[in-house]
Amino acid sequence: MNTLDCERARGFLADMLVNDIDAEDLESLEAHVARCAPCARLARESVFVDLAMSEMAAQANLKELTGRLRHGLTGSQTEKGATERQAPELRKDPLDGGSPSRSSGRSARSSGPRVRYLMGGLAASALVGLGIFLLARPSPKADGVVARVERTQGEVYLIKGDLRNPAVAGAGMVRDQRLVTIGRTASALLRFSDGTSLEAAGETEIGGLTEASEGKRVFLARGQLRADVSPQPNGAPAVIRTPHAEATVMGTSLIIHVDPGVAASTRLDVENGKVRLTRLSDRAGVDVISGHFAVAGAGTDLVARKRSDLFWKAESRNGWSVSFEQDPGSFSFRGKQSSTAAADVVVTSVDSWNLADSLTISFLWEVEERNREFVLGVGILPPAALDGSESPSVQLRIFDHGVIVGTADTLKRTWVGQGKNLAFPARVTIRLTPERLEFTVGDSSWSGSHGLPAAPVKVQLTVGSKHRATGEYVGVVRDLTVTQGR
Amino acid sequence: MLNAEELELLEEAKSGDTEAFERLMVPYLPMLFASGRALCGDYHMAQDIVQETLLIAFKKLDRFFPEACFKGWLRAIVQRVALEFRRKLTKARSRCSTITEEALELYYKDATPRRASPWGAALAKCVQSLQGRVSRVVRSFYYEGMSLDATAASLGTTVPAAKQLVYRARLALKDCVEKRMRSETS
Repeated sequence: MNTLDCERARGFLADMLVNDIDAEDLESLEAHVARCAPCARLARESVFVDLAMSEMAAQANLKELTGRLRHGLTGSQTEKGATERQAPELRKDPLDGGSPSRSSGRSARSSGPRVRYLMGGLAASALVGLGIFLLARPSPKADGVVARVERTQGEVYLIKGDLRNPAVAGAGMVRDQRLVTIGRTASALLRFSDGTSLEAAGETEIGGLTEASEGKRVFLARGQLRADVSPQPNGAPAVIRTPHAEATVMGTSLIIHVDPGVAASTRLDVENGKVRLTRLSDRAGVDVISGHFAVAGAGTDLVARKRSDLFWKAESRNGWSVSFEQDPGSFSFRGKQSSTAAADVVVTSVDSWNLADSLTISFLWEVEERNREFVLGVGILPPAALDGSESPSVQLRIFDHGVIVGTADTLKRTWVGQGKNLAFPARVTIRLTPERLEFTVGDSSWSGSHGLPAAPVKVQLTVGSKHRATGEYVGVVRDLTVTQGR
Repeated sequence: MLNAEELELLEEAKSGDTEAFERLMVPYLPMLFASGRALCGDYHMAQDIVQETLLIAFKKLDRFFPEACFKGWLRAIVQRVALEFRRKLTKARSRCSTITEEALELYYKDATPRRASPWGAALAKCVQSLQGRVSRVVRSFYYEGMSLDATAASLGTTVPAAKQLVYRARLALKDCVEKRMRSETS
C-alpha cells in the first residue's frame, strides 16, 4: 500500500485538501507523509494556508457569521422560554438586509436558519403533501406485513429461513422475518401503520415482529434499536423484548441496546415518557422515566439512573486487594498489587458511556526497576510488539455494541510511545473526549481523533506489568481515579 | 486564559446576556469557521458548524470554568460538531485525515492568532498580489465558498483542472509568503 512516490502523494494531497479523496488513498498519503519530511512539511503548510484563507474569508463575512450567531441564540432563548431576557434587536430576522449574497455554487442541502425560514413558509403545503403521502403509501398491514422499511443505509437484509434479501425502502416485513444490519454505519428505519418507528443501527438483529390485539411485539436479539412509539391503545402496549429483558411501552422515545458480551445485558435509555423494564430472569421490574436509563443483566442492580451518571465496576483478576469508592460526581478505585499475586486490574464501565462527555482516567504507575523498555498501547496489545524482559503495559479498550473498536486499525496509531528510560513512578492520564483520545505518561504524550460515532460505547482499562521471563506480575498502580467531565 | 474584559463578558453571557455572548465570541469566529471548514471540507457546512458550535457553547457556558482555556474549549466543541457534520456528507465517508488534524493542532497552538502574525500579514499581501485565473479561483473557492464544480464552471474549465488550479494557487501563496518572510528577515 505504501508505495507512493512524492509526485503521486502530492496529487493525493491536492485531493485531500478539497475533500475529494477516498479512504484508501488517504491512508497511502498519510503513510507517505509519515516517512517523507518534505511532503509532511508541504502538507502541513498547505493546511496552514487553507486555514488562514478560511479565516480571512470568515473575517470578510463576519456579518453573516454574527447573523447566524444571533439567529441561533434567538432560537435557543425561545427554546429555553427565556425570550424576556433577549435584547429586542435579537428578535429580528438577523439575515434581513445586508447579508452577503450566496454564490451560485451553494449546494442544495439543508443550511441552518434559511431552511428553517423556508420550512415555516412551506409548512402548509408540506402538510398537504404529507397527507397525500400518508394516503398513498402502502399499508403495512397488507399481505401480513407488520411494518415497512422506510429507509436503509449500508448493508441491511431481510432474512426468512435460508433466504436473505437486501432490504430496500418500501419492503414489507412480516412476522417470521428477521432484519439484520451489518457494520457500524448500517441502519434501517421500520415504520408501523400507526407511525411508530423502529430504527436499527450498527450490528443489530431484530425479529418476532407482530401487531395484534394485545399490542405490538418485537424481539431485539442484538445491537441497538431506537424506538419512537406512538401512543398505544389502553391494554395493548408495545413490548420490545431482548434476551435479558422486556420493555413495555405505551408511547415514548427510547433506545434499547443489547450487549451480547461477557456482561450480557440490556440497557434501556428513555428519552421521553415512561417505560417499564422487566428483567426476564426474575421478573423484577423498574419504571424508567425520561432522561434516565436502566440496565438489566446478571450482577447488575435493576435501578433507574440519570443518563449522565456513569457507573463503574472495578475487579481484580486473581487476587489484588482493591477497594471501590463512589464519591458524589466521581468514582475512584484504589488498588495495590502485591509482588506475589499474579494479577492485573480491569476497570469497566458497566453502563455504556455515550461519548457525550469527557472521561478521564488517571493513576500513578510504579514498577520496581528503572531504565526498562515500555510500551503503552491503545486497543489490543499484540504480544509480539513487546520488547525487553519486562513489559509494563496499559490498554484502553473501547467497545461499541459489544465489539472492540479501539483497535489499531481504527485508531491508526496504536502505540503512544515506545522507548527507553521512562522514569518510574509515572503518572498516566488517559482522556477520552467526544472527539479525541489523549494519552500522557510521564513526559510523553499523544493525542488523536478516535473517530467514534456518538453512540454508546464501553471502556475497559487494563493495567499490568508482567515479567516475561518469570511470568510474575510486578509493580504497583496507585490512586486510580475515573472521572466523568473535566 | 480569558482577559478581564472577556471574563466580564463571560459572566454576563452565563446569566443569559446574548449581546455579551456575541461580543465574547466574535474574535473566535474566524477560528471556528476555519476549523470547521478544514475538518468537514465544505464552506457552507462550515457556517452551519459555526452556528451549531455557538449554540452548544451558549447552552453549556455555565459548565465552563474561567481558569480553563476558552479557545481550547471552543475548539473541542467545533471539532466534535464538524466531525458529526462530516459523517453526514455522503462524499465524506472517510475519516478526517490525521494530516489535517495535526496541522490544526499546530496552527492553533499559540495564543496569538497566526493570521495576526507576520506570517499572516505576508499571506494577506500575497493574496492581493495574485492575478488572472489563480486570483479568480482563490476568490471563488475560498471567499465565495463555491464548490469545485461551480468553480470549474465559472472558469470554463473541468473539475480536475479547477482542483489543480486551487492546488497551484495554494502553492503560489505558500511560496510567496516564504519569499516575503525571507526578505523581511534579511
